[in-house]
Amino acid sequence: MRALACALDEIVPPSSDGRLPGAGEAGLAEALAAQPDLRPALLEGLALLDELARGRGAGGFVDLAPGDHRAVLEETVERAPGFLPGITAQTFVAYYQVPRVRETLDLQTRPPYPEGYAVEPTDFSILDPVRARERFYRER
Amino acid sequence: MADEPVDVLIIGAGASGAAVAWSLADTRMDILCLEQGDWMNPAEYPSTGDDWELRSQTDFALSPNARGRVTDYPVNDTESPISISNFNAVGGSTVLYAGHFPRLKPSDFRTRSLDGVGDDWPIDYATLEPYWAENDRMMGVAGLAGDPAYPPKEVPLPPVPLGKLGETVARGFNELGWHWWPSDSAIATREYQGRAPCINLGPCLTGCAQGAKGSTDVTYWPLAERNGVRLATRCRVREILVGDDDMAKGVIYHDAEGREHRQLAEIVILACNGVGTPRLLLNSASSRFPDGLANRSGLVGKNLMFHPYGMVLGLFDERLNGHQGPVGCGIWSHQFYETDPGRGFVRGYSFEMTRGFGPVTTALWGFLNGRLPRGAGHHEAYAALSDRLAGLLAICEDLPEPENRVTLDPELKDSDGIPAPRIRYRLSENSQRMLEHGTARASEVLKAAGARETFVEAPLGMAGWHLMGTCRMGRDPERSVVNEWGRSHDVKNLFIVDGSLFVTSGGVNPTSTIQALALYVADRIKKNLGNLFD
Repeated sequence: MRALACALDEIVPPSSDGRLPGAGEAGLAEALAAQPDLRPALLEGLALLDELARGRGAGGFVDLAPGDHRAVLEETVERAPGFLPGITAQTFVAYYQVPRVRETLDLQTRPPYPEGYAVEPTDFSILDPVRARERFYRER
Repeated sequence: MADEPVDVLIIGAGASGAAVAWSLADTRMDILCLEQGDWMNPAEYPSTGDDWELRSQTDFALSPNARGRVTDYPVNDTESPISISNFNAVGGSTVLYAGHFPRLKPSDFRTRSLDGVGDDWPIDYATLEPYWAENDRMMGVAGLAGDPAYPPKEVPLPPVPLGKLGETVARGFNELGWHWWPSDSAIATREYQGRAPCINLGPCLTGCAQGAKGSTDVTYWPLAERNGVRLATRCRVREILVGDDDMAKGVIYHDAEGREHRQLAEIVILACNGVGTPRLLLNSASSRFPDGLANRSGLVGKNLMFHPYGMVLGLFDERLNGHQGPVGCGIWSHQFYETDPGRGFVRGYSFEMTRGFGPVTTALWGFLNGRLPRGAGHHEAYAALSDRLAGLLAICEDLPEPENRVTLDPELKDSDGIPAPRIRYRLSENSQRMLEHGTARASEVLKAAGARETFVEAPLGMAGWHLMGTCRMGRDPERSVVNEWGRSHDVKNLFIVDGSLFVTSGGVNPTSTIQALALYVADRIKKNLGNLFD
């Protein structure tokens, strides 16, 4: 799980001002690992990350020097082309459902129903130029 | 197992099935509707939960293949750049539609005479006018009278507010001096016939939990049932039976447990949409109709028309509150609707404004379009996209072409073992040119409105919402499947009331016209009851 969290923090890192967590820090590793459809691809991808890390002399992906995680992650594209795009899409989807993230970004933090949203009535004087037009459909 | 015979059997409880059922209830005939889906429970619609965006990709996906509900049937649309989007339930695809509710125009009924393409309809705009008006009242249509793009008409309810996004786009049209107008929308903008008013939830395409959107489960069906029409759900019709006299005798259907039933009827009405109806007719081949029931013309399933959609998104610098308000109901433009030979194509298209990119949808769109990187720069890129996208859809008229068609798939079957439809469709040169023109003009509008960048997708792959033309109406039995009031030329007690009837597609969403046609056919049935089968 540490390796996955580490990878997720490379995909969505913490914001530079510290207001937004990285995707791993936000606890998404557990959420993604719990998805049965994702599990085989995740296990395969994580094994590859460890293998590539060992090729660089590290004990595993988590043991890499801080600057090397991203490079190793990108290296997976050649041998497991679907892994990184797949995990990226799933991470983005999960990240923007995290309440803390939404709240920080001033996004919806509740379902649309039942409160809905108030929309100001429209001042339809904006239509005046169109109202001034002649009818322009073909009659017959 | 045989059920008691009925006077009228309607197959399908969607847009057209509901309208024809309600209208025929006047006759006090014994009317039964068989629907393969269930009643929906609005309390379970996605907008009631935190995962509302995700469910538009799973159990409320537009494609029946993606949803995979037991109430759906699969569709092989691998040979089409546009995939089928429909829904099977009481209310049919109106459960998931946007409620954008334009009518066809006078010229749409005479494309052969006016522009030398397609065919003229056997009816005209004036014929349908009273039925559009009646349907607007039944569905609860909001809008604004006075649109110079249409003959004069009344609208029962005040328009949907445009919101910041809509007003922004409207200013773009005004800047260019082009037509726009608040859309006719099947959305109750105030309390209307027992329906609660719209509260701007946003995701109309996954069902309206408020009940403000005019889907036929909340409009026609309660009234039709009160007037005596019986509606049976989870009943999937496999085949229409026909006698030696070439009259329909009834149907064979499967119930929820897969048990087979035989339902006899004096009149059979098909309301299964432009794919489901030809599928059922082709599945009803017999010794008397070896090429499919009611198919002596050979036209059942042919001339399939979608509306090829071109989508243009504009990226703005400021937030647009795009999640507030009905996703597809705000503005339409018919500036480029009528033929202008100088444009390089015949016929035309309309624009429909869209909004409603939620947080997750924005992230996915950014990822798929290379606008949202992983790693460094991610947060800055997301901030630049979030709530800053506005869309315009170019809805292009599709011309009828016999090569574009619905057939039966030789292998794919639904959960009852009934052969599934197979779609073969290619985009015509005319449609391609129209899409290019439409997306270029949409980009101009959005830039005039202040967009700093625009993004084009055409044709929109998941936009097979509008299914038309596969059992066209006409006076000549060799060139049409049904007559000018929806009765099969070959089987005198068989009627069709759905989008299959369309002779040409027009360049606007078809539901309003589909339902007007259903009411018109019902009216003709009522007026001709004494000699209906002559």
